[in-house]
Amino acid sequence: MKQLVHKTALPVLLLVLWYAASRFGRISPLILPDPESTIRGLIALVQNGDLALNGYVSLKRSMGGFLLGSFLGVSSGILIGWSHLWEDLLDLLINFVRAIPKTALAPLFIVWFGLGDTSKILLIAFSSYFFTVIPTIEGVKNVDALYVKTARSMGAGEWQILRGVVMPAAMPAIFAGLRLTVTTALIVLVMVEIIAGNDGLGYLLQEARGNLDMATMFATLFALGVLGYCLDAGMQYLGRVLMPWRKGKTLSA
Amino acid sequence: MDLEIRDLRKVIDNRKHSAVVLDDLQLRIGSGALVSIVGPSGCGKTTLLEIIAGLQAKTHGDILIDGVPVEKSSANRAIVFQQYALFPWLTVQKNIEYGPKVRGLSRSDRKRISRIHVEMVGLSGFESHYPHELSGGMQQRVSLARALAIDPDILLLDEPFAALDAQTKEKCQQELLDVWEETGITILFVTHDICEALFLSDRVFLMAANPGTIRDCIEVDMERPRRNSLRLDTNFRTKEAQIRSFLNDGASEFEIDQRDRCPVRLARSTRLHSIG
Repeated sequence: MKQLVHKTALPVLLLVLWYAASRFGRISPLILPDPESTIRGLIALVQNGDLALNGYVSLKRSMGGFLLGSFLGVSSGILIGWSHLWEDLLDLLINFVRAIPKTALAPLFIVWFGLGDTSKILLIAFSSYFFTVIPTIEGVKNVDALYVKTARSMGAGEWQILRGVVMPAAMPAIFAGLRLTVTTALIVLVMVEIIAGNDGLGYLLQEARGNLDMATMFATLFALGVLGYCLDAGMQYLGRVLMPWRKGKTLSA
Repeated sequence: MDLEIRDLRKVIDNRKHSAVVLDDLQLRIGSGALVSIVGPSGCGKTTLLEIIAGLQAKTHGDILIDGVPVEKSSANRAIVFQQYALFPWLTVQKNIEYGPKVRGLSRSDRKRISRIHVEMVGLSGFESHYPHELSGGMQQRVSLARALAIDPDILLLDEPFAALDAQTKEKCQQELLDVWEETGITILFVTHDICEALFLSDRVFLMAANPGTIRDCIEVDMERPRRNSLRLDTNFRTKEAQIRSFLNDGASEFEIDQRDRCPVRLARSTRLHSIG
């Protein structure tokens, strides 16, 4: 109960401040809509199906890109972290391309892959790849050499060591990377939907701006927050299922 | 199984530094014996064990098991490290099953093997615990059970009890002796704890550093089964003092009673006690 109070105190305070500011602060609703009209905007979005339709489109793009990019990121990261040959082959290329802000590639991807889903999914995948590959490489490199020695002393082959020792040992680091990647996938998604889209939550924001419909804009932002929060919670849940041995192991606990 | 090391030499030579880690190292352990190597830290004890286990390459010399040279690691030599090295993502049972699994044994065989070894180290009831849920002593027992589960002929132990408190350590030593009696396995035990080496072993090899080599060997002709009261025995204390002076002063001022000395190169495969 006490924990619940601690966890909700700040959000509730912010809501009260928001309400007070829009009600008594003489702030134009074109700058800050009041909570009630935001909720009405949200209800309208739910009722007319805009939220479900655009939310689905956005979820599909972000998850498609995330899954594709992180799959490639994890698998190549394991190879690079494990083998010096692969590291030498790919290190320079990865670090150079990684240095280019992914958003800067949006115009290029649009030229190459068009205005539809393909360019959006590929750009999200591209960015997800780089956010996954680096923690995976680090995770594999930091696997305790004793685990590998132990497995080798029992006669385990390279593939057995990679699958049975390196992958589980690196999994906490990989999962930390995946959690960040989900968040960045949403960033890239919204950006690319704002600059080139006729559907999706990013497009909804852009349209709301055009209509000076601040309630819809706030409602969409809220929906994006819920989406991001749920995806992150889902990743954490998946982490607990896949790494049951980590149960109760946190620094602050 | 009989282990013999002839003229072993290990040189590390890379861009950062080069050093002779082991040189002219001779060692012979008879089948079923329990022998220790004592030496100052940094003398190459761990390197020696890892070479025997096939985890490091040697520069020169031979490792012979029953007269046959070995290079790569294989299931006939198991190694246990000081830091336990248990896989944190596997339960006690799955940790013990790891070796049998790598060797492709069936599920039911793995289960049977892990049950035997869980019992052997007295951890029944903890099969589904994760390593971090166990105490240090228990973790080291799991580590021992995991090594034994691959059914090795030679068990290599690298300061396995060094991280344990005194009481747990003595308990683990006793348990190791029980396991040894039960299995008849050959054990090579590396430690810097002189009492531990004397208490456990048939013979104690003394190792010197720079380069690491076996300098001498002390016969521990004390009756088995060994009891904790042995640690207070005069003979035991004398030998302890001898080894201590070797470790402190180096070989030059080192004198071992000739009756206690046994040749480093000579083969002796008879065990000094009888079981039962």
